[in-house]
Amino acid sequence: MTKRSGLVCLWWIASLFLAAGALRAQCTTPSGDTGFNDVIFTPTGGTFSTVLPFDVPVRICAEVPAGTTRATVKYAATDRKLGPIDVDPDTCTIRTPGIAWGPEFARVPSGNTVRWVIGRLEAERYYVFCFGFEKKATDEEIAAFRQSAAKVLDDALTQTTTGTLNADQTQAICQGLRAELLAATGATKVLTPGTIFDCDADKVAAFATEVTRGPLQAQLRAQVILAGRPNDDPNFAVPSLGQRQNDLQSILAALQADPSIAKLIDAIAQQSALDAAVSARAQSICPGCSALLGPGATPAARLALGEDATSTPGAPLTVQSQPSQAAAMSQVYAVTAKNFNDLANLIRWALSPDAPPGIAAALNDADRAALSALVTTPGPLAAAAGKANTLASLTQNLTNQLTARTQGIQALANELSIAAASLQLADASTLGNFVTNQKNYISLDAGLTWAPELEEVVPYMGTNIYFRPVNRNAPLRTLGNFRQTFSRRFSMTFGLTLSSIADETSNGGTQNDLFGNQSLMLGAGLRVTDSMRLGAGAIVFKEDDPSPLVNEQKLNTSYYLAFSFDIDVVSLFSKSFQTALGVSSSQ
Amino acid sequence: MAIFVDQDLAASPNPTDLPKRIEFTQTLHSSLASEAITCQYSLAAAHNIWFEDNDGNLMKTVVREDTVGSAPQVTVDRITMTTGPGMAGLLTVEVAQSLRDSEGNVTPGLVIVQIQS
Repeated sequence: MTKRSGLVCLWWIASLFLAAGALRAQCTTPSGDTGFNDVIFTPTGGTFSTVLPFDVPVRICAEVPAGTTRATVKYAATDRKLGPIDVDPDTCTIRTPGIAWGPEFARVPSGNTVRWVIGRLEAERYYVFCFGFEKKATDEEIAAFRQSAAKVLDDALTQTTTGTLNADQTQAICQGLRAELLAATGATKVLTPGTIFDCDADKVAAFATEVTRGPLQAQLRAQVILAGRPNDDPNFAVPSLGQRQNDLQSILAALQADPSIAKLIDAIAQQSALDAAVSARAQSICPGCSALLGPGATPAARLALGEDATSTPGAPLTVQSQPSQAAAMSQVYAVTAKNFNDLANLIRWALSPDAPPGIAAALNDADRAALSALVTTPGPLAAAAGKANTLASLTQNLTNQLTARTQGIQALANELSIAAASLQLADASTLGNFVTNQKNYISLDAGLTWAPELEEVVPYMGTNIYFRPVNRNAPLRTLGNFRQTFSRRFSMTFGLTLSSIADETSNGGTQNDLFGNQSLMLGAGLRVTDSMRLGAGAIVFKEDDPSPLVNEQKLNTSYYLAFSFDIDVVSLFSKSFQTALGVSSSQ
Repeated sequence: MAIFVDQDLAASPNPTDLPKRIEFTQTLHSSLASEAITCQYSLAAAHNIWFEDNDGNLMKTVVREDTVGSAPQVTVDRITMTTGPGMAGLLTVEVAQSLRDSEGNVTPGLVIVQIQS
């Protein structure tokens, strides 16, 4: 690279930095009058740039995390006597009794900043703000959520054991599922609204249609197959799957231990070894008998559980089992039922005149009678085949219900989505420090006072003490009517006349100023506009004792009426006017 | 000898207001060429939803008989459901079914009926 190209490269990199800086907008306090009182929220510190102003519209600016699609703010307030509000920082749940969030203000950020206009705040309050920054979840987050949502729904749905529900119970199930879903996604995630998991009262019928009559119905069907159902009429009582399996196991065990059957199976085996035609015939009548009876038979306990010799023993079935487990059991039961029927046919063949002589000779009369009893219709083998077939039917139905339940849950999970939302808390107040409070409570004004009894009109300066904080930037007309704004208008006044009210003692006058050329004014005032005040009170001055024999001065008072302007307004007037009032610009 | 459920029990109309004659349908077949079955429909005792017969009697259980063959067959039972004494305000009600085959094996079923107020 040449020196020239290196310089170009440096310039290019510098340009990129400059451009990036220009693109990245930041919250700054506007220099001009925006019509709002702007404060800046710093999410990292959870702080505001200033004590919050009151009585004026407040606009909050904040920088938002990258990708934020929606930013919200809401706030709650308490009186200063109650102190700060206790809030869960993870969920923005207010723990202080009797305090609730106000309305939420939502905005779509512009670039990486957002501004909310939140209206007027009250003076002397503690505030807590909850900021929410929502962004679209990534595809990976959504995929992971759907997987966990399906698991959550799968687990939570098992808690429901009836389909007979009122609206409140249905809504409670909805809320329970929702709570589980939110717990699975964490406090910083919210479910996208608009699904049946909003759990609103007006959506409860939709929830019943989609969930109660959907995966829950399939689950209840599976549950009744697994657990059975009692009935006042024992003819219609539904045994549990376990009971049915025990019944089948008893039948199988009895068959496997039956001496007449054992003798028959031995005889067939011996004759099959001697004669291939016998072997072929026996095999064609009952190809599965070797699994049912004889030395290579599958144990009764395994067959009763729907497991053949090659099956891996499965866990007990539940409504959360894999449908394939029930399907495999169904196949084994169907084969077992067929084997029972085939065994009956084998016995009939062995007892018939067509039976090979060697087999017929191996059986005595008692054996023949016992075997005949087994194959009567209806008889024990037919009953055993019926029970095995019923188990095959039930486990096939169970397969369907478990599949329907799983598909229903997956469909619900697919309907759900999430938005990532981070919550941020900030405490603030409209209570300033001492200086701020002084500014809040005290104002200065200047004007003219007229004391009718003294026949004097003199300029004065006064200090007005309010009984509440007053924001002079808040126009009175925006805060309500006269009655509503009275406390912001009324104040006590302490002032000093700026010129003498003394009469000429050389001409027989008797009144003198209290201090040098100034007298004290004590009274009250009422702002009639934002900057103009009318006042009244008493001027305190000194007066000669009326007795010519007493050379003393006493304090005396006389009422006054006053008309004044706020000192800030006064400062806008010309210097000559200030000079006329005796106010220097430094004041 | 054994009853196989090819299509689960369904109720129509569903959702429904009450009283209403509800049609319960399902598809069954038997392991036999022809088999007589008995079907009991039942409702929980506590709530106010009942079956009603042609004479206006309220019942919590109804028993119907049918015959199914080895080929899948749609069975239909029409039963009037209405309200009566008991806990009111249900949004959904579970109708339980027990199918008893010729050998006494009982196959369970159920359907959830959604009630419109």
